[in-house]
Amino acid sequence: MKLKNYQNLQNAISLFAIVGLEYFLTINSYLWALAILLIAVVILFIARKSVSEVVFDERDNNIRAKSFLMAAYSFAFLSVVTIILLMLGTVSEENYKMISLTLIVSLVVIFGVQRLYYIYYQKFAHLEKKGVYIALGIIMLLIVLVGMLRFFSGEDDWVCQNGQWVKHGNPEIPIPITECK
Amino acid sequence: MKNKIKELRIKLNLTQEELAQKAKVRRETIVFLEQGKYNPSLQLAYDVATALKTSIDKLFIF
Repeated sequence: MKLKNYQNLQNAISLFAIVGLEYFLTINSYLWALAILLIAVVILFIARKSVSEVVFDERDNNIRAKSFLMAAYSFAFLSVVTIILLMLGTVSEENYKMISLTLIVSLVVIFGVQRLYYIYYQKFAHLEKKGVYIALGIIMLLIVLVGMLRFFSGEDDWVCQNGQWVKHGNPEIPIPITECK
Repeated sequence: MKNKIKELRIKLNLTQEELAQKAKVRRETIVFLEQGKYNPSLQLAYDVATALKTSIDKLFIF
């Protein structure tokens, strides 16, 4: 396959995948959404293998880095606007509030992960014992994740068991008045 | 960065496509290099210089 044909196919498949994903996610058909994603990846993988020319070189890599950075900045800008809208109280719909909060949390996660990679490439990637540092980093990350899960998982809550609300830990809220099914 | 890529490529009777294949990059990158619109890495500069049977210091004008 010629590079030009591969690029056209890549654009078409990307568009198809975006539209398909959007559609199946909105109708809560997650299996189809996953299938669309897998089909797109497999087709592109096979097509790329059949291209004899260079598909991606260092200039493309530089452009990709710049475009990722610009995408992150755009995302950050959008999140700041969302925060302002939330502060002003113009977002009243619960669904929109959830979307806004997801956007903000995602932003923090993206920049947090970016920072971790930055530190890794700045300080550890060139070291001989980088494996040790990576292991230490993963352990620390796991500790933080477990801590966060413990904090946000609702350990101290009322749990529905055999049609009855059972105290789990030491919940601050009173027993739920809703029916336990 | 100014360079003599186009001049040497024509002297060696190479097309941009052929030079791109030798330097293992896409043709567009050769176009940008010839126009001085892209500063290559040391590795790419070396690969292009080798493909054009010259050295980096003779290929690029510092």
